[in-house]
Amino acid sequence: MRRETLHAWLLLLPAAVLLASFTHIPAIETVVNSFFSTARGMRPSHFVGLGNYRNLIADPTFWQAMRNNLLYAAITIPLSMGIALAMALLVRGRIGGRGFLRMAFFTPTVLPLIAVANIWIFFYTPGFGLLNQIGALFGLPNMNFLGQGATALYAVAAVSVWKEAGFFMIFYLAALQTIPPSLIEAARLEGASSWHVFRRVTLPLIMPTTLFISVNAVINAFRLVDQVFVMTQGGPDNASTLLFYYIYQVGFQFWDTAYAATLTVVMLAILVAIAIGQFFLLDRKVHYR
Amino acid sequence: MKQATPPSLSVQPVAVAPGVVLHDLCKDYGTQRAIETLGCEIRGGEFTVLLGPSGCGKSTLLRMIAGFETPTGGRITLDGRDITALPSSQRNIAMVFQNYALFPHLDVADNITFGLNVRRTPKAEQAQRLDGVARMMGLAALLARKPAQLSGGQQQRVALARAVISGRPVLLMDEPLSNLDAKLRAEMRVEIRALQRRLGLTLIYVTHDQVEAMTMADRIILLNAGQIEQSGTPEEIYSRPATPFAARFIGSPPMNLVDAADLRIAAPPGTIAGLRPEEIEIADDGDGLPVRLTGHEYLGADILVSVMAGTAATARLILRRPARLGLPEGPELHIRWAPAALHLFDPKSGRALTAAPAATAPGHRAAG
Repeated sequence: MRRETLHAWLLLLPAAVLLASFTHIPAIETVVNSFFSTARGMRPSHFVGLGNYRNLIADPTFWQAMRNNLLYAAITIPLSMGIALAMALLVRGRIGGRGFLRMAFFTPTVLPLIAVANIWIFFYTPGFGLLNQIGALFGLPNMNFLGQGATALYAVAAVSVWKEAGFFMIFYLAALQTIPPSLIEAARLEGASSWHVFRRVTLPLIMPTTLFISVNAVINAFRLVDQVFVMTQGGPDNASTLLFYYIYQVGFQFWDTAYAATLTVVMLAILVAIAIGQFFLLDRKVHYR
Repeated sequence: MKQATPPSLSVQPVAVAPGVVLHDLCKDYGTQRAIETLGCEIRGGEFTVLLGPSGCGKSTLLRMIAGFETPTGGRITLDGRDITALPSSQRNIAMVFQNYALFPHLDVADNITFGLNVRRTPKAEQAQRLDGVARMMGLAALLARKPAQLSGGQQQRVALARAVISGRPVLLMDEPLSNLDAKLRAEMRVEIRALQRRLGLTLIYVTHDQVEAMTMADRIILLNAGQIEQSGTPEEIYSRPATPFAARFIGSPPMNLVDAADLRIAAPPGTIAGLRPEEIEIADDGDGLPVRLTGHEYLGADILVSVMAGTAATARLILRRPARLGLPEGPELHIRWAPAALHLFDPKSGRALTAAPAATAPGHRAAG
């Protein structure tokens, strides 16, 4: 073997070992595990073929988590991206207190999620929580946002939007700043209104960023667990159980690791399908410079 | 004469292009004054170049005419109509930007018709005008390309086409050739000049390149530190520079500017004497100002000869002579010049002392 080749492999080795031991091997093992039963006491794990997948299709909690997750994604992704773009457009221009606004919008991203979730639990608390106190001023009835099946998921989603929007704003802000001002001036000179400039010039030029953010937003929407864990624990009656939280429950509370592996494979398949779909669908509309 | 192309609004010359007048215009950035109060007339249908070194305020002036900058004081009129407060889109002007400002996500055709689309011009008319302009600018084969797939010269042409298709009679150009290589720049100079003539546009062109100004302009407005140094035809500015700055800025190599005393000219102390390199000749008969040969530069057709004049041999002069005459035998030489070739500048005002002042536009204020 050539000396340089050896050096190259040696330099790659630390990263390769880390990637393999924490990402690649576990991923393969997860797929393998999903075809075996969970080892319990005296009974060792044995091959069950697609048995776990049959159970999954028959599992009402899985479908509930799936529905919840799709609804959660449908709410949080467009809302957080829309708000992020609006905030970025706002703090791009020369307005008073721009630095303060940028910081304020970004703060939710910096705060640790556990702390954030606890603050929001206080906001939502029935009786003396902030939202109920404000509601009481307008004569609204007392609401238990996190304790009701009808509102729990939306309450969790609201926190996500609040937290994600500031993070996505940074990407939009960076994208907006790469648009040469002369492009806007050229459009203005031709008589284009602000809306026209936004729709025909700004929006197409930040499409690569939009695609990047949307892929991230989808992954985040399916990866959420800590917030559910702190705020609702999936309740009441699985009303706010999301896919990843359900995997956590199955794997580490019920210790049915094989079924958890099956759920993980399904979730990965969904994420891969969505990401590929986004790239193929949006790629035709995205202009890369 | 061959059959004309189908009638197309955009290719027809503008009947009478309006002129632009700047009345006592000034611009401050904070406490910094970018444009001193200035006034000038840019005549309709003429090619006017705003020329000056970087930071002289020429781009600011252009951006105020375009409506991208608001003047601190003064007025701008177009065809007698006050446009100072109008938004850019209502000023009836088109512009070519330094970086072309093409929309990278739109193809050439959509870039050119962007403005027509905004103004809801009927599709049929758009197609007709696009066809005319694309043919005129040699872009017909490139209409489906994206700007990134075009060369610099082609991008420049698309930017021009977008400005021309609007049919607006006043065209502003901000250093449009600065991103092109030397050969392309020479070609585009001819092309832009021909286009302006053909369409009868009022063209206001910003550049720091005196060659562009000299070759293209009907009229040059020379700016320095936010003030008009001189305005006039290229010939006027070259042959009768109003100030030492104008004398130095135009011409390559620039006019020799030395203390008048060093040339043994009777003038008030401090008077600056100016001589173009090509106006100085070597006196072979030994009659004239004695100088010392210090160096030379061979340019092919011409040769630049450096000499030192003056009592302490401190005044450096460059003279240009045909290379076929060869380098004069030195080191001691004599030089002379025609009386009309000598320019004298007042030590106090810095303005030219000799001959009648060059024709200046109405409203032009002499500095000092």
